[in-house]
Amino acid sequence: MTNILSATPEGGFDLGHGMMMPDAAILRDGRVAADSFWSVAQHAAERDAIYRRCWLYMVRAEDLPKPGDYVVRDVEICGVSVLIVRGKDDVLRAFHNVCRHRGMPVADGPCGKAEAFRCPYHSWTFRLDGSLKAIPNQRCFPSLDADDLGLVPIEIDVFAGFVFINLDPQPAFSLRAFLGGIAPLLETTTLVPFTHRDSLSYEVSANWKAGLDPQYEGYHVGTVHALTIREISVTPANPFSEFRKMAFAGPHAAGWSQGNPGWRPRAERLVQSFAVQTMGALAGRVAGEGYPSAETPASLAIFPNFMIHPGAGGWFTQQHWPLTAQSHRWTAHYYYHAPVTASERLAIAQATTFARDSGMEDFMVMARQQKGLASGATESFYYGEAEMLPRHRAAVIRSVLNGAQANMRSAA
Amino acid sequence: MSANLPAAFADLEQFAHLWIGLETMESRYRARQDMPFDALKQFYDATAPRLADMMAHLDAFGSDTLPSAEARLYRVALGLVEAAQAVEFFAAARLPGAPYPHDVAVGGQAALSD
Ligand code: FES
Ligand SMILES: [Fe+2]
Repeated sequence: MTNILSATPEGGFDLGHGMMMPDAAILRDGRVAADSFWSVAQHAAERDAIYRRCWLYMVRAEDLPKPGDYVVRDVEICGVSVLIVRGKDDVLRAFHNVCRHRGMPVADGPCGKAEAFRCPYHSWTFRLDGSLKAIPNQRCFPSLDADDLGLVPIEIDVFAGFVFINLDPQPAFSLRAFLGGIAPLLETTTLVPFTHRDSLSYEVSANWKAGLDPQYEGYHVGTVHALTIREISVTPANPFSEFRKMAFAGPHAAGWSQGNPGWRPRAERLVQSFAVQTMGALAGRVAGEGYPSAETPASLAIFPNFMIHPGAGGWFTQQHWPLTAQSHRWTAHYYYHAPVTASERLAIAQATTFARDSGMEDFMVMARQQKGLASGATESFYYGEAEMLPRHRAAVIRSVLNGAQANMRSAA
Repeated sequence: MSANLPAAFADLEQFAHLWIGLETMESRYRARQDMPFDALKQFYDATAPRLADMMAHLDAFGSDTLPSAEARLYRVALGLVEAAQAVEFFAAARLPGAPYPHDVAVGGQAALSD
């Protein structure tokens, strides 16, 4: 059995390379090779063994409510542009955003509404279900069969409203099997009531795993966020913002924070006070529907790069998309109940602004960390036991890359 | 562009020009990075104690389009949100150590249509 939810990180998983266990040495010592954060070879191996194999989160189903609604999401590490569109039959489909004539992207990103996709190069036109509708001056293509020239489909599946794709033309496992024991936690993340969302995106000069790390632990909070969120998280009883509980399910993980239940904004912080109070009233007005509870993990980490957290307005989700071995793109969505009053709109603006700035505190650190690691000064770095979520992730990745290499050797 | 604010907030008109032309969070963030801290602090000190009154005034107008003086007042309040980050948390216009200037895209590659 794989992907079972467990309080310990040793559980097995299968990412299409056969049944594996997280690397035992990394789990035991927390020591990770520094070049795993900068080597081009590791980057290519992660592309082939992880990003071309795993289910990757894309968008919420309700973010594409009507036929013709689409998003374009680039998975740069694989060089793939993914077009996700709701068809006239209400079905969500995913395609390579590549014209079958001569390869042009047919949809302009990152989002929009379309009746059909008309290629901007020579106007070949594709229906929302991907089929080819029209070839201008078709008699010049006497031997082509338009029925064979639909957009190339990509595997897509939805769980609890979360839309995932898989770039493997024949995924080794279903989305449900991939999520395994983490699925029930994902199911409790009810984003549907939160119809207002703010989306942010930023390119960071650091490996994608460096981007994930501070989302996977509280250890940095007291230092990096000394000016912002430290006081929300650090208490005399929990000076290092440690999780009170961690759980692991195959490659996925979750951490529950202790928080600081007595926290209130400092009185002299007039704007934060107003915003937090108003946000609380908004939650009360909608009777708390869909809000995180005390049992909500502070970090729900879906392998490889998707995180869900409780936020000021309800929830936020974020992803760290590898670009190069030493850079990634952060994308985040903050989900709020629809504001009715100007005060509520302002409170939401304050919450997103605060999240942006505390995120920037992390980004500044990781870009500098990246330089330190890439300098080659050290061969390894260390995750402590309170950093068990990133330690576990590093152990999973190490085993996947070892296993994929072993598979290649045995196939050769 | 007129910088008139609703009569009860006419004393804040001296600050209105800083923010009323800035429609996006990105442009307000850039403006904050470009403003001396003292100017942000002066603006904050004058407006933050009035925030609850400003918003009570605006809340009375319901959720749709605000009259133009009220729309300007709301922009000033959004400017205050940005200035408050500098004053309430960082004691500096820019995040200490952050690249200058930098933009965090609203939407960007993660954009969703409404
Ligand atoms: S490349 Fe699309 S119509 Fe020619
Ligand atoms: Fe952080």
